Amino acid sequence: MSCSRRDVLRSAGVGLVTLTISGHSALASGPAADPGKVNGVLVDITKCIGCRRCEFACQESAGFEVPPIESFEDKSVMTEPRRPSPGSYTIINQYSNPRDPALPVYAKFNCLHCNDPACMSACLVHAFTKQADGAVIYDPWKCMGCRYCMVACPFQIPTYDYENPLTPQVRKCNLCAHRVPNELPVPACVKICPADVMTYGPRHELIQLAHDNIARYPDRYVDQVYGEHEVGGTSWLYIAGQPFDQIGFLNLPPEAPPRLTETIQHGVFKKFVPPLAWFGLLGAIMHLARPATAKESTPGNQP
Amino acid sequence: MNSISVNPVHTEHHTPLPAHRPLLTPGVWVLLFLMVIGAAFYFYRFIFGLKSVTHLDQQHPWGLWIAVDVATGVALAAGGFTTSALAHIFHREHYHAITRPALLTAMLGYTFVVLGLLADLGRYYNIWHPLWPTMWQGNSVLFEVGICVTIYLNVLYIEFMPIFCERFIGSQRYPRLAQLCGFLYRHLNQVMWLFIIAGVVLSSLHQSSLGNLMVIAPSKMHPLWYTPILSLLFLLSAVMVGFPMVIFESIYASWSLGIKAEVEILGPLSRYIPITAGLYLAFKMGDLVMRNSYVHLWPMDGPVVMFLLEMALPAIALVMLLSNRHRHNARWLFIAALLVVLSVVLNRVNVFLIAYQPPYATKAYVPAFGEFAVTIGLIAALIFCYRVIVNYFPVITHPELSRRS
Amino acid sequence: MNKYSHRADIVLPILPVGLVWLMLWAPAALGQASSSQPASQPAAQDKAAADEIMGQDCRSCHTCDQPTHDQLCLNTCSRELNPRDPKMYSLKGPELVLLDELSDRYLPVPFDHKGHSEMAAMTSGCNLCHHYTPEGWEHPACRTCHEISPAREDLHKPSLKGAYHRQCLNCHREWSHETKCSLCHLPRTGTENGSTPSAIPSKDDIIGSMHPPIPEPELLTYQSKYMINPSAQQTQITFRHKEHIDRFGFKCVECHREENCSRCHEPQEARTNTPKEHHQPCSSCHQTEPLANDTEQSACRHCHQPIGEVTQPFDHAATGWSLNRFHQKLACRACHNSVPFTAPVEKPTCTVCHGNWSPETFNHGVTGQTLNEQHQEIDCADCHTDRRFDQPPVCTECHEEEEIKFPDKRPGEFSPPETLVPKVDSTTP
Repeated sequence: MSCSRRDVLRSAGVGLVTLTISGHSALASGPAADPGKVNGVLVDITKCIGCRRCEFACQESAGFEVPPIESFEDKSVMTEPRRPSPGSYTIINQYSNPRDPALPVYAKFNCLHCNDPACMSACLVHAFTKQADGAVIYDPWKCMGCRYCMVACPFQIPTYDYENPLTPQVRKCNLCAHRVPNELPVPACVKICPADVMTYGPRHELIQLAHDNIARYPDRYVDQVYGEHEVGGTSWLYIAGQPFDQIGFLNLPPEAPPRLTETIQHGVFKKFVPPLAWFGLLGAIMHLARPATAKESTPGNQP
Repeated sequence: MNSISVNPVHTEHHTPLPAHRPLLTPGVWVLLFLMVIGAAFYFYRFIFGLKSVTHLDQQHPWGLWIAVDVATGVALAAGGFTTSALAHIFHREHYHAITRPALLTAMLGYTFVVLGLLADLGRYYNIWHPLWPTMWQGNSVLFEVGICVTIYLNVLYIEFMPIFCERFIGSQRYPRLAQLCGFLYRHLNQVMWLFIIAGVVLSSLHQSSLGNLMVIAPSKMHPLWYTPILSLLFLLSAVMVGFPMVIFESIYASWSLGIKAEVEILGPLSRYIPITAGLYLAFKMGDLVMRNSYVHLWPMDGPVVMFLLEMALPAIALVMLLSNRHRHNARWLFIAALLVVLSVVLNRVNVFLIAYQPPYATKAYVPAFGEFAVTIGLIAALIFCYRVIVNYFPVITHPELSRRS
Repeated sequence: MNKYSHRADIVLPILPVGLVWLMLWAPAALGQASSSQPASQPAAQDKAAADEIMGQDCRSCHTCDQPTHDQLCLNTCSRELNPRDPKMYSLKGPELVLLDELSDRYLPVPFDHKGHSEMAAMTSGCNLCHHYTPEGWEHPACRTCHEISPAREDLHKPSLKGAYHRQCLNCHREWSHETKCSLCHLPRTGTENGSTPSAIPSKDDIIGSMHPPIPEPELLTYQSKYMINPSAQQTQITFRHKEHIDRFGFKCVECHREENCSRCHEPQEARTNTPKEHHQPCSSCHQTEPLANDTEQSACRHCHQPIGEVTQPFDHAATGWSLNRFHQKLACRACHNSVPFTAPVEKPTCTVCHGNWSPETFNHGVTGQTLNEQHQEIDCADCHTDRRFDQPPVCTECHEEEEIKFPDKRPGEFSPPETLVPKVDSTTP
């Protein structure tokens, strides 16, 4: 979050815990990422051939032990819809193609890197941060493993190491934020994709590109850019040849979930006035409602 | 402000005293047995991970432990703040006798909330992180809950301190402890009003925020439960369940300790329940109408039945308690209070488990035996601790206890 | 304290609850969460590079900014390209292309250009893969425009890797249903620093044999479920394939634009087209939608005929304008310069083609009308006003008498040849 907020925090001091919570809470607001710098990925679902190379590249990039690349040519795993898992941050699912039954449609699922991430708003220890380039990344050292992020995510993306008794992590795509500095700022899945399904670039340009493509090939695409408006917009955008709810995508409203919870939260803590007023009111009642006998009695009754 | 005495006005009829009952009764042996099983699974979880004990999966990150141990635990500990508000802030001195048991319930309740939470946290050793200023995340509803619960837990310990001290004041065996207790007792009482008000403020904040937790997942929540005013409903239900919980626990303890239930205190206290329950039900039904979500009451599937049950229980209790005769009968009081308590338990389980419908789930979440064992073990441990503390510390104010001592 | 009753107790719980409610909701209701949309900006258009390659502004040929294979959006200008001429592929294209720009995980891919160009020759020609390049120009290498880096400047253009793979996958995926990389790629294993020429198959192994020629059918018949009357269960459509090419001058690509390999290689999996899709290739010339006031559906009957009945080749005389033996040999487009051919021929003057006719060079006798001595010498335009030879000649230029009038009076002997003269005078043949 922004530096000014931090400064307020520091100046408020650690001693008056209750007061500082309020100062922090009241000042925090929506995400501060500059929309011009946010990068994203446009996925053209009509181009995907289901080769699962992105799954390979993702696991390789994440540093997992990866089976040989040829083993990813096995399409039988796609008969059942899968979800991202702690061992694979992205997966390809197969759906039937109403236009040509012989050529199924493949949809890629991974973290969409929301503009206004619910996981980040939910996390109570700042384990999630939205980087300037749009990536929503996770810091396992801050995490306390409450899994509220998994509850909050509208796309049901974060996964968890339930098997690990000591150092479990929330696992999800981090847009390859761990890549080495001199490498291209392109996620591993985008890099390996042979069919050029994914385009990496500034989000606003990708939206333009998506609409251009839809306008140019109205027969090939449905007129929707998934991720342009869903839950406040996402860095990953999708265009497809059939309605998105037929290929495993959720119908989600344009409102970002954190806007409501944070409005309520900051309303309750507005400059810490409501809790203090509540405290003062109760104190006044306590004082004024004293029965006459108690008022005369000496303080601190001894047994 | 003048220092306000928050200590009960002790007369010979109204002095809290240790119960001094035999400890290891058959009922307590059962509790111990449940605790041992729970503890076994509790420690098994820490050695082999959540997967080994729970049925949590990638679609269902929160299970029984969060819904019951944490959410319900916090709700049922509401008796502490409602009673202290009534007796200390609004000076209804008549109810001073029940503030100590309610306080003990709240203190133990929150302690076991933390114990339950520890088992559920994957990185439990990081539980202190929300207190560390660089990691404060003021946008998080859970942060608000966490910090309020932490402070409130400490407030509860401070509020309980005089009771602890009373036990040791004048002790010949521990003269230094007796001296310290005497000092604390004198000075704590002068500032206790601060902590009592803080307790009420903190409770109203985190009880409501607990409901706000699920507001962040609108697309995953069953429309019967999802509402932007979920936090208000949680606060109202916490206020509603406060007195019934005190009544329930008081009668339950009386029966257990073999003393007569104090209907002359609990009866008048129960007059508030129709008001709080009516308010809660009015808001809940008003919300149902305002959001047009009553259309989801049909077809009547599992969740709808759960919802209707959750609504019906306080309504029945409300009607029952309108009768003066019922209010002065321990059995009826107990049933009515139990209905309200059950409805709040049901509500918390509904909101956190039944209403949470993850979009890609292929199978429903059914808690594992280990999860039940830990939850039951924790409740058993709570009751056991209550029993032990009531036995050795001056918590219960009862004429029968006074006579025996 | 035993008698416990306070009237104020009734309102007691309402006060804190109401207060908290106000505190919870008043600020929440006031502060409206706002959502902002990033302003959409047009993508950066860097046409300078393309202009440099082509030597001219893209707009001189393309009507849109981003032409693609299947949407060229070309201006109407003359482009001489005969995709049916297989010679141009075997003569001009390379036999083998080594695609080695992206060989990091795999060895370079040897591409059998000859084989593929021969296959392409049966449909859209070079344009099946290459962007259109005017006659006499070299096709630029794909990498001239398509960026190798996946972090590319122009997001509208596929990266080089994508351009290559999509080119191949268009057909390969269709009949194999597989995405086996090993079909084209050899893994970079066994050698230390990669490229070892010996690992790549020899040229002779790669360059395949020519695709067997596909005979051009003279006549095709199709069965249709469409009924023209209740007694006939099916109707038959005759398509004179050869006539459409030779006479009507269609290029393969004009109908076979959507064609692909699986059409022939996996015909059993051909999907069922809608009537509209079936009619699409014909509808540029033929009326394929029933007319609103046409209860007989005569437009449909034009092609849908009872089983066994074969439509005859087109006879121009059916239009009311029979052609002479010279004009019969011409392709329709020689006169009709736009489809459909039912449109009136613009300026149907003979001199469009026969521009060099003069009294000296033209033997007027071929029209059946031999000119006598007086008329042999005069200029064509004296009788044929404005050299409109399809109009009746006028005599008033020289003859002032009213009674001298064509065809009552003729400028010489006349022997009407049936096939040479239009049966009906009409300006719209």
